[in-house]
Amino acid sequence: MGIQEVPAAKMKKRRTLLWSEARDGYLFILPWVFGFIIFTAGPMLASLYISFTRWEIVTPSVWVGGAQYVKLFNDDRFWLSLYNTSYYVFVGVPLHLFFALLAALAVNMNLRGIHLFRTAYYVPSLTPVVANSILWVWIFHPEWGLANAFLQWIGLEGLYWLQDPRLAKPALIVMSFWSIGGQMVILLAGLKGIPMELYEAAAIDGANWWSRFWRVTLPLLTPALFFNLIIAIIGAFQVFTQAYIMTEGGPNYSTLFYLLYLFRAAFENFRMGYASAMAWVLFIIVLTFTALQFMLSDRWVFYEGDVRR
Amino acid sequence: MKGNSSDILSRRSFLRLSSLGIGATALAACMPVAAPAGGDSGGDAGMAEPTSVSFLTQGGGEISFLRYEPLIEDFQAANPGITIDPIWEPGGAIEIQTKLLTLIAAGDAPDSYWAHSYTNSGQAVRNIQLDVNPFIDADADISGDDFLLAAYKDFQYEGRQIGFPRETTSTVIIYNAELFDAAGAARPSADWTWGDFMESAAAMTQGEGSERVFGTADWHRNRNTWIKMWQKGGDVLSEDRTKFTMNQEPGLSQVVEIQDWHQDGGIHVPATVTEAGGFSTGDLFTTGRIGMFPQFSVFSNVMSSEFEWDIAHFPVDEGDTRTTRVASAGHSLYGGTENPDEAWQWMKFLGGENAFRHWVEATGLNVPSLKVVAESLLETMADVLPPSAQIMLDAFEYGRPEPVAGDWIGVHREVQPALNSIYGIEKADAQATLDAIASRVEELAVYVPGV
Repeated sequence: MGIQEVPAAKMKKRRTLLWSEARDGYLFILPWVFGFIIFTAGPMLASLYISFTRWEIVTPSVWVGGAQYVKLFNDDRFWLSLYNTSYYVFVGVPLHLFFALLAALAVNMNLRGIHLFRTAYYVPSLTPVVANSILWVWIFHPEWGLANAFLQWIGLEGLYWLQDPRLAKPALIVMSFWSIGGQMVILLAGLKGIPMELYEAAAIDGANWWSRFWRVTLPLLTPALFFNLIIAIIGAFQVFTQAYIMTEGGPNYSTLFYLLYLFRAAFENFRMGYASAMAWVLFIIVLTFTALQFMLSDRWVFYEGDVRR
Repeated sequence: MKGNSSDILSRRSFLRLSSLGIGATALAACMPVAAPAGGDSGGDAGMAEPTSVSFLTQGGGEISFLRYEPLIEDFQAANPGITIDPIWEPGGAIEIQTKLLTLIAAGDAPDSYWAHSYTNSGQAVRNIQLDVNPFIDADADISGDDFLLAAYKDFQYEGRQIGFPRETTSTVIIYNAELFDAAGAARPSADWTWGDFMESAAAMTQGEGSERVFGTADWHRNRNTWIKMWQKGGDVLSEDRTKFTMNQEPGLSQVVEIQDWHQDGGIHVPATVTEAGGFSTGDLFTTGRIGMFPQFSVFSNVMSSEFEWDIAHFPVDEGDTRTTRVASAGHSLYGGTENPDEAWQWMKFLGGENAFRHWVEATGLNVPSLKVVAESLLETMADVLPPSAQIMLDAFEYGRPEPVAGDWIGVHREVQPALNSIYGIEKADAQATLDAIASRVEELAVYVPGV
């Protein structure tokens, strides 16, 4: 069958229309492209350049090649800050997700006044981190804090939450549960999106609560869990404010997180080259973990309609 | 159907063109700015329109605005060719320095700024401040002799005058007179000794749990530990400020002694309590739970005490050096200012008697560093100062600044966590803990940029 010739005039009109559509499209995305290049890509590339220099803001930058990276990898404090941050990420994020899931399951129940509970669980996540931090300094106070009052009420001895190097990181992780509301809402939306027919079918097949949760709820919630996991890991690697306000990196550097050390290198010690090198190492770590999660997601994330491999 | 590629702006072409243009602009904007060039006088600026002098200072509250806004108005009225553009930044020394650095990095450095003795040396080694000695030498209206010497020295670095002090403090002992009397202890006198100090602290320490009264507090802070070390001949750094000496005698034994005060049942408020936040040493003092503690001469945190309180000199033993710590805040000019003459006029105005009188009357000032105002302080502020307020002024006669060197904030950042480990619940070995930070402190203290 031969291909029908398109008249030249019709072709020209179509090209004009396509050009017009393309132009409008590009104009619409232009502000974002501008913003991305000026406020994200530009500074990123500049910081990459700075990481190969010695630059102290007020002195001319001097090209030092990879010296900042060599110095970084020989700096005990760098490794300590990386360890502290990794601890916060790999202990804190799974627990955070677990409690967010528990909260989502709880507020998904059809109970009278459930909207009030949903709001109550969500509101703390709207509180600024600075305000949260000041509040939790009081809660963790060794003499007058609520946390120790509770422990003493149940017959246990009070703890030096933020003063004991062994407890400071776990204390900040406990504090992070205060703001599970954001993740809870996303998981709740995921729970609401699971078709009731699947539960009904499972019930007809004799599935108990646990089987329904394990075989229906959890698999269909994995996209939301995956999204939360990605966001939480990226956020946790950037933990800063709590340590900056509550512990100043102490006691004994046990909460010297990566970004706090980076901030001090840049704005207290003037070492912009060093701080930029740190920023790029963190970028590569976060990028690696994110890519790894996407690669592994095929094995545990199920999208409705997908065929399980 | 696809259109003809020559007629349609392809996505690739669009992104290439826009990236090239915007990327070049962005990179140019993000590149490190050049070092301060030292600036010209600005010559004929002010002929056509007033020269703007930017001024970075503490903001964020009514008092901050009250501190400078009336002065800005007065200055502008007296100098129609100059306008002052304040940049208000909430926070203290570190926050102001952070803002200063970001402004310099953005190529928008302020001409003048509020400064603190903690951050002065770190900036001075990098030539951030303008040396105002040539201006002082050429100006008959103002002299270094006008200022309290210790405070003036806080703004000197290797022969350069890197600013003028505004307010200053000397560290003294604040004590609860009623607790002394109740414990049968003699109140601190001009010649009291460390033996007297220990005796009265032990006598006042009593009770358990949240009701416990402690003889003393706040020695865990590095600045207060240092004073005790200085009295005994020790220091943070060697005389040439290149070696860390806190881990050597006679400094080390002072750290060990203060550690003993922190032991269970000791005379000192556990460092963990005051470091925990929420409740300050001032809160504990005003509620009658602390007998005495060292503090720089700012008394706002203890003024609400409903009992008799006063201040005293530090105890001193025979053979000790009588000394204390002096620290100051003031104003500096940026080395790269394009308007050094106008900025100097502003700084000189802030160093004048009218400005100091305004601060004392409008907002209160710890100790004005201008002698003539400091000397009249005891009369003008009599209603809010303790009975022995003269002591805080006398302390300037024998007080000294911290041995600021290199990245002094960084040195603080190393020493304080080490002391927290020694005095806190870890009860870390003083020698080993201080040895562990020695090389880092030395690196920070002798740090020379660009080498």
